[in-house]
Amino acid sequence: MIDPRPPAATHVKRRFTWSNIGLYATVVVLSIALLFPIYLIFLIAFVPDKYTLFSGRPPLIPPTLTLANLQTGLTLSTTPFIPSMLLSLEIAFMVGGIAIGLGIPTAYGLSRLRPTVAYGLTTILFVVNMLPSITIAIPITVPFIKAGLYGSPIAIALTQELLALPITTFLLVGAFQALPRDLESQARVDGANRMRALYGNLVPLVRPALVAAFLLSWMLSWDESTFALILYNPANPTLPVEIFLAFTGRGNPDIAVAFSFIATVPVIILTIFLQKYLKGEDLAVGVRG
Amino acid sequence: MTAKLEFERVSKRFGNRMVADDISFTVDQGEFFVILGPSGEGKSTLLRMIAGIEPVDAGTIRIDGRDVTDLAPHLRNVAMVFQNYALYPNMTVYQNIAFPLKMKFFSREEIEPKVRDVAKTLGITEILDRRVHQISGGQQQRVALARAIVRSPSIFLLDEPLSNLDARVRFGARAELKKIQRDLGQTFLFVTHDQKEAESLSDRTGVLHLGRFEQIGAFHEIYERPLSRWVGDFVGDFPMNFLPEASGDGELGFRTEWIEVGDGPYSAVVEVAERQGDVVSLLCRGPAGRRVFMTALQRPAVGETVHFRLRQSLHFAADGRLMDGGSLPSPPGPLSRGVP
Amino acid sequence: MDGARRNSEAPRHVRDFWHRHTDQLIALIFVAPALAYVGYFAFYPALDTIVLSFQTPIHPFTTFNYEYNVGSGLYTWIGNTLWLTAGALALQFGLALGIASILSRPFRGRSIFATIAILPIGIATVVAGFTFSQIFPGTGSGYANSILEFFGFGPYYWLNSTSGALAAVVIADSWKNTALVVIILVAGYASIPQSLYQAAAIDGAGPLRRFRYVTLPGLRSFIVIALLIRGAQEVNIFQMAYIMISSYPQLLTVQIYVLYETAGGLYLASAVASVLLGIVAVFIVLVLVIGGRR
Repeated sequence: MIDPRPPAATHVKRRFTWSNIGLYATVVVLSIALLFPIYLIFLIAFVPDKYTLFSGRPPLIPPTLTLANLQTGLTLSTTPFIPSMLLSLEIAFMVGGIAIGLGIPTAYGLSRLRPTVAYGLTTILFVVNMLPSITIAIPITVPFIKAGLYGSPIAIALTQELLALPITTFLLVGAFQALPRDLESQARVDGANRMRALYGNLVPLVRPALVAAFLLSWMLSWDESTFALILYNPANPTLPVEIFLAFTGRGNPDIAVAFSFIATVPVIILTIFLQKYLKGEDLAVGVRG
Repeated sequence: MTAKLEFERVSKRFGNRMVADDISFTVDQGEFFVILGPSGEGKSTLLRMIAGIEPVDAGTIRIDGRDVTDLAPHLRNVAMVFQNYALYPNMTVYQNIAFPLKMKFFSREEIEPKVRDVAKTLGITEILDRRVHQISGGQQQRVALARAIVRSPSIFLLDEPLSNLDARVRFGARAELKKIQRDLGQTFLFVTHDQKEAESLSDRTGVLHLGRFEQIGAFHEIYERPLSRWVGDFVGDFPMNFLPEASGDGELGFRTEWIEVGDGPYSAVVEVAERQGDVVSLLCRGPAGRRVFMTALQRPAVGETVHFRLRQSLHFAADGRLMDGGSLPSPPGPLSRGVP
Repeated sequence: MDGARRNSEAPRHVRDFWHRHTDQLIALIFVAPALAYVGYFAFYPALDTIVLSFQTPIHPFTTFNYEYNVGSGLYTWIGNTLWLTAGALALQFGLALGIASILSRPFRGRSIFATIAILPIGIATVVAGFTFSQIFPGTGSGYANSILEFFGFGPYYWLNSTSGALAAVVIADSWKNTALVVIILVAGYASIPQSLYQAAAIDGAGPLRRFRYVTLPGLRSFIVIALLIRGAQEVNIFQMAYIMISSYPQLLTVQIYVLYETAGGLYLASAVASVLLGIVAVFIVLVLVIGGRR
């Protein structure tokens, strides 16, 4: 994602100047600081917990490695971990899917509206992102209970969608606005009604933004724990809620350890993947527009 | 399959600007009609209203007598070529041309011969498998045309399709376009701000200014006999020259061809002289400080004074209209310039 | 011209609102489902919360909940939350400016560093909370103290003081969320044309002044947007804080949760939730005002 157009000097000279050393030194220090917690996740997962969780002075370099933590955590948890993971997966895909499904028509509409109206509506979506999840979560349990959907995946997905939809719309509006203006008109004159023009001609051209939006929404859902907590079904919580409950005292901390590790690995892979799709320019369009 | 187009009192407003002000006119079957006017004054909007991608504020548009004003664009059976061709970037040339047929749910077997036929007519058979970004501007223009032709529409709409071409290519493309229209016998509606295109392509030209047609007719008629000062000034390689009329009532307008240099009651000082081909174009400062365009065979010096007389001229009233000029295509509305 | 004259004698057919603005209205229809969704799932519950906050099992309308919460220390909670927010924003923006600035030039390994910089976004908040509570635990242990000891400093009891605890949460939250600000600022950097820097350099501006006169103005709108997004999110911080510091020092969101989980605490929780909503509303108003000025 972070790939701004490099300035004039496109090749790097390996000169030993002070500023270069300073630059590299800063990069190294920052990288260490950024990677340290991730290192810890692996450390805590694979080092016996007397050296990590229960140690008075936990060492930074592990003396030994073990798989015992994972084994304990996965077998000991009161709710088995595969259903948790499947639930989290299911919800994440739902959130991603709804984000795209709802996001495409919304972004298309916004990109075709008059600027003042579009700006107003975008602001509304923007504002939604800023509302505290916990404020909304509490009263929202009621309609779900009434509909008999309390604790169901769809309930959690629908609430988490509030986080995913604004940023999805943002990305997609930028992508639609970048398309040549006359393409849609041409398709409609050529015989496509609006739906066919949108889904047949425009959407295929914004595929990178669609992928990025889906991945981002997926990751937001995978990570989300507030709505998942308030709306959770004790027999089947999502992964983050499992970790939360295990750690805040209701279970063996090894559970938290194991699940943390499992929850993190796919995300690291996805983030690396996502990096390729998001470019700085796409976001710049949305901000200025 | 070719159709007649009728505009009945069509109006459209953008903000507080009337881009179409109570316009009424007709384009006959098989006619090549050019809408000529300055940039940004509503020519494209007219086309877009005919295509159905721009809603109409008032009035009626008929194609072949049928009221299409509220009809969705994909049902109107018109073809449009945009200035930047709007070729579908993720498709090959073949798929681009086939697209309108696909929209009508033709089968692959039916589509193939039609596409190949059109490609052959336009000479683009070799590039059918290429992608849009791999072909030149001239080729792109032909693909856009092919896509329009392949579906046998009732009307062709072309929005400055030649302006993106290099100047050299443009001349040939123009001739080709005229030939295609003649061969097809279809109704063409062509928008441009370029005089030469209007002159060489049109059967009739409509000069559009501030949302109204100032004049409609054969190009040479408009050139020789503009019905308003504005048209005289706008139409032609050189604008019409104007001098205040002797008795003070309006102005005399005259074309560069109507000037006889040598002797005469008028004089002007040469400011700029430019050789263009085998004539020299002159910009001079004449009576009452008016600028006068002339042509000469030899190049006078800058600052030299030339004398000339007028073989003919037109008398324009103070409000800009041609005196004894007859009537205009659209009757005057509240916003017109009062031409009868 | 004959056709023209005949056509112009026809009656004038003015079209109705729907036909004149078809495009815009249809575009609105496309946006409508999202708006309905947002209205029902976000704005309606938010209003509901406010209504609930003025109710108790006995009275249909009363300010009892607010008074009770004030008695319990509402003002302290607000203070803590605001301090946390201010500290976090300061740290995140300082770091993000630096990182985004580094990423705006070419150097070997830039894309690797870019990946590293946004990696924290992917780590689940609870996982990060859990990990950072190992770095900053309540006891004198923890990895932060291991590092401090390595440099010869004594152990620090992070969670024993309000400032220590809040600092720990600020660091933890900033680790994860600086990346978001970095993404926005990188987009901002990309929008500043190189020619501006070149012109400034020719005019005699060194790196610091170029930063002040070219970079900062160019980044202004991006910084504002990022501040408002992150500001509101920071005020709403919940999981990270609850995992790391539980309910001391008290933050608004944590209190909401604690009250909600207590029997009969629904209305009290709603009151605190409404206060939180009020603070966020200030940010929202700022968005509208500043956005409108643009």
